[in-house]
Amino acid sequence: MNSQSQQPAQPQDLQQQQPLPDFSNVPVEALESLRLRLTQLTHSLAKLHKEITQPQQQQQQQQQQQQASSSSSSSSLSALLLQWPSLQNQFNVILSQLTSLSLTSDANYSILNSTNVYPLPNFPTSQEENLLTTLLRRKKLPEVENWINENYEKMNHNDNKIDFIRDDQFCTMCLKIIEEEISNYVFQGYRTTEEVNKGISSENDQKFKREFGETDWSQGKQETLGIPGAPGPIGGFSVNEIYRFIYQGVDPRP
Amino acid sequence: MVHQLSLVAEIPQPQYMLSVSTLAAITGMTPEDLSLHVVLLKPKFPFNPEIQAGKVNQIEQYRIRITSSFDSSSGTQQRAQAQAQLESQSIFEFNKNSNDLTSRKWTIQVSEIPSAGRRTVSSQNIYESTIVNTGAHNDLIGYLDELGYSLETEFWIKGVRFYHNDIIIEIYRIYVKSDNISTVIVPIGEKEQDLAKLYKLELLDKTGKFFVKCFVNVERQTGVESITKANKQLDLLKNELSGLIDLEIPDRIAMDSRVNSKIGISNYNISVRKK
Repeated sequence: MNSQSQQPAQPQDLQQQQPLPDFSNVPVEALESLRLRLTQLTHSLAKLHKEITQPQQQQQQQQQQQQASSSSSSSSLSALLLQWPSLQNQFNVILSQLTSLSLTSDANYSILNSTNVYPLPNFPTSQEENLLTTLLRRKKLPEVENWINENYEKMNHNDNKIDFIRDDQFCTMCLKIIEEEISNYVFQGYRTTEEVNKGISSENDQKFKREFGETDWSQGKQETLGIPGAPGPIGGFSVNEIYRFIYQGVDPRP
Repeated sequence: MVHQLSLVAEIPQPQYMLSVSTLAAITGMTPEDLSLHVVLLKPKFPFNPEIQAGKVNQIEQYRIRITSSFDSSSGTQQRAQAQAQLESQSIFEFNKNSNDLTSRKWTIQVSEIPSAGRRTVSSQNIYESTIVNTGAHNDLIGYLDELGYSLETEFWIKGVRFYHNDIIIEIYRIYVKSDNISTVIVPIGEKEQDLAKLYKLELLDKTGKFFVKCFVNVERQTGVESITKANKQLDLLKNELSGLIDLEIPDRIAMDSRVNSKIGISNYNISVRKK
């Protein structure tokens, strides 16, 4: 800031000499969101890592305390994991962040792949040297490179070799079976699929007939305007017309 | 006298089994049978007091109802099963020797028009008494005649009844005597010539839909505490059943059983009888 205010002429001169850099093709917003996503991802991964490792330490401390205070040691040395709902939630968050990341970078793949990055002349090079080297670094960190190589090796190892195509096929098959199974059941309303396909079940029919001793059950069904379960007018006489009949003897029939 | 707080609803026939199972689950009981033979009677002699200033002129004549439970499978068991049809004798062919009609316990009921005003439930006074003895001749019609009432109409109520806390829930349909006189004749009494016709009953409402009445009987109209409690219970039930059985308040005018009522019949003629 100081240097700029003291020498305001210099950058202007530079800008005049060179054509203004063209940012129009740079997906600034996408890049910014990438940065945000990366920060978030780092946070959530760090949090997960911390939560997985920390309780064990706490537990170990507690156990040590217990052992110190009382001779009867509770022998629960089983591996302590987080509660599964919290674990699952965190995985979901991380997954969605990863998905968002890969989607964004995939959408800008061509431009990012064919772009050379260089600092503008007015970049405070000496002050921000660390940032600059980080930003301009194209080679992976040695430890990161190690992880990647390690994983490649694991993947190509015979015992753990994963056939991605077969894996995908298996997943598709599972999904298909689940869909088929879901379609076999009705999860809404008051009837089973079988009853819906048959209409009202014959058992109910018979029970109804036993109770009311009549034969107009199917006839009544047809005359009823409403669909069972559906709101709205159901035809016939209203309660008030029936009450007039009960109290005043007024026959509602035409 | 009881004070009755009630709510009503209607359900289409296909929903009957569902509603009954739901209520069975809510009340935790198997439904009780509800079979009523209801006879509506009107006063024989018109009473038209002169309306004079200074005199109490709110004298009204009310219809009365007599009810008794009827055996819906009257006659021999086998026939009832074979025919699968509701049958009953008619009160209009009352015979002193008729075993079926005379052996029943009849209950007389008079009901006032429900209270007016903005309310959450219908509330109405009902006076009820069971006829224990109709005199030496065992003649119900003669007894009612002496009371000054003659037969107006009859109908049958068939359905089920549930009890939930203080609430009585009835799901019923109304049947009337079919126009075709059933040819079925059963011997009654000891003498062979005493014959009674059995009428086949048909639905008043051909769509076969059911009517629901949920009510609480409270001892007095002034028992504020019990009325509040009953109101609360009905309100809870209404919320619980909403969506399946939508309980509402019936029109009090439709429940007016007065003879020559100025609001009851005249309104009906204007609004409904257009068909």
